[in-house]
Amino acid sequence: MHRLVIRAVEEFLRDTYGAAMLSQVIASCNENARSNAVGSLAGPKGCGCSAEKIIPTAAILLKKPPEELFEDLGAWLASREAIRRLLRFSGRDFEDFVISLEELPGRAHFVIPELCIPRIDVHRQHGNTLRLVLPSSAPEWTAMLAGLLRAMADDYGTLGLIDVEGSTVVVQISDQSFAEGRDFSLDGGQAAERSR
Amino acid sequence: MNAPGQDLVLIRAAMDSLLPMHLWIGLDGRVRSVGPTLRKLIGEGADDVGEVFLSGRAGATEDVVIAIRIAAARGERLFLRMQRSPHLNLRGHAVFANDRSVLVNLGFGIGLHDAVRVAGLTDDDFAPAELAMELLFMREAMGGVLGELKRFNSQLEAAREAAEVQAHTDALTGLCNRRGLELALNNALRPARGSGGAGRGRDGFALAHLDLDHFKQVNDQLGHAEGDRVLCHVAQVLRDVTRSDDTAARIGGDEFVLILKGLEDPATLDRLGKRMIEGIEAALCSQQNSCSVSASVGFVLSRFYRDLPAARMLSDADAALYRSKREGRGRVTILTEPPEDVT
Repeated sequence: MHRLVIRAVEEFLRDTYGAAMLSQVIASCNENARSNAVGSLAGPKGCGCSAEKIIPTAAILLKKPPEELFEDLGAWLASREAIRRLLRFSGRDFEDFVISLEELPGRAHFVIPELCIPRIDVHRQHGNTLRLVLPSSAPEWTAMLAGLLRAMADDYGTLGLIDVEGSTVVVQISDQSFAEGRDFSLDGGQAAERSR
Repeated sequence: MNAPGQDLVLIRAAMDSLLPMHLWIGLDGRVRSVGPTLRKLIGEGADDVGEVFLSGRAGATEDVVIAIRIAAARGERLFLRMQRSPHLNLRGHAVFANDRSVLVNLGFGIGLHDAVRVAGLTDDDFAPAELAMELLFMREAMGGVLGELKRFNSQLEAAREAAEVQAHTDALTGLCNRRGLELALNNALRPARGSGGAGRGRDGFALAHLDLDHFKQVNDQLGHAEGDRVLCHVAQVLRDVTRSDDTAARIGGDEFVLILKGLEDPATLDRLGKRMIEGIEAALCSQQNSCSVSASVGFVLSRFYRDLPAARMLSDADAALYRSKREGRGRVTILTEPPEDVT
């Protein structure tokens, strides 16, 4: 698993549930990894297990459904200024953003070739409904995308309804300019670095 | 397939949309039209090309309008700087249009980010076919990823350093282990060798080999936990008699080695050895039992080993130690010359 992904998941858990919870999750992950005879990769402080394992392990400890935690992770990612900015580059309004999510795996691949984001197919349904279809083998991505979309609708100031149906995320846009969106200028690199 | 005799005619709005960075110049050098994005860069009202632009080609001295017409005639790449922000070097090409006018299309090249900052450009200012948004995206994404990689790098470096220290440290006592000793001994021998006969006093050192007496009984009668406590006590005694550039190592169960820099006087070493033995004997003196612990010490001096391997120095120190053991334990032996080769 890419270390960037592991770090993002660890930061998300630390941010949301505190350092103590994160250490508990890592300890539990390492225990499982050892009993499965999988060696630790990440050195003394890190976690040797993959991100796919960290979240389910955390979900057990937190007594939450894992999908819920993946959704929270998606929303948390969109709230990171550096990541929010990269996402905002993809569309000038929320609808444009949702449509261009088809390009997201390609964009991610361009920056980090090892990062495998599953294919996202965007279909327009009647009216203002868009359906984002992911492979059924990637339910964690579907959940994460739903969380990310909710946060980004907020970011664009759009009123929308985001639902998960199986491996599909359904986005209903009711009001594109419901509220003032958060500020985004192309030249925000320095501001983003400062807030990091 | 081009039908002969059919020329393309574009209305201004179409030009603005298709080429937001265009510049259309009449024969007189006056601006006939400017794309909306380029207009943001050069400002309103400017309509004399010579007042707005400079030739951006290195060493160019000719009039900018002439430079543009030459580029159009030769089909060459054109570089233009703006009088307002001369650090931005726009590049593009020029073609002849009707009435001997010239149409120029410009782009930002690698200065894109600066241009965005200077003119406050947005997504709408770029033609969809341009890769400007992708370039800006890449710039930020790469910056973020590089920052993270830098973090990982320093983490790995710190982990490597910690692992290296661990690899050279005896976990129980915190002294060096055998590997750490070998490294320190080779380092200590290097200057002693390099300096030849001179500088003996500065680079010379003594090597002490120390072995506990009656340690097995401590383990057998008082248990291993007490044995470990004695070993830690010994480590503390050795730390107390050594200075910061000396080395103290535990190389086996109850075997210790010291490298003592600049100490070559037998009388001083004898006193030091006896002090260590006294300190070690104090480990169990408070206990009301039959157990006692002491140590035997053997010293060798580096000046005899300038041309001999480190292993030989260690084995001779061991031989000196065993002479102490043979002669009744709890004592110090200093070899003032290397023993005869016993082969």
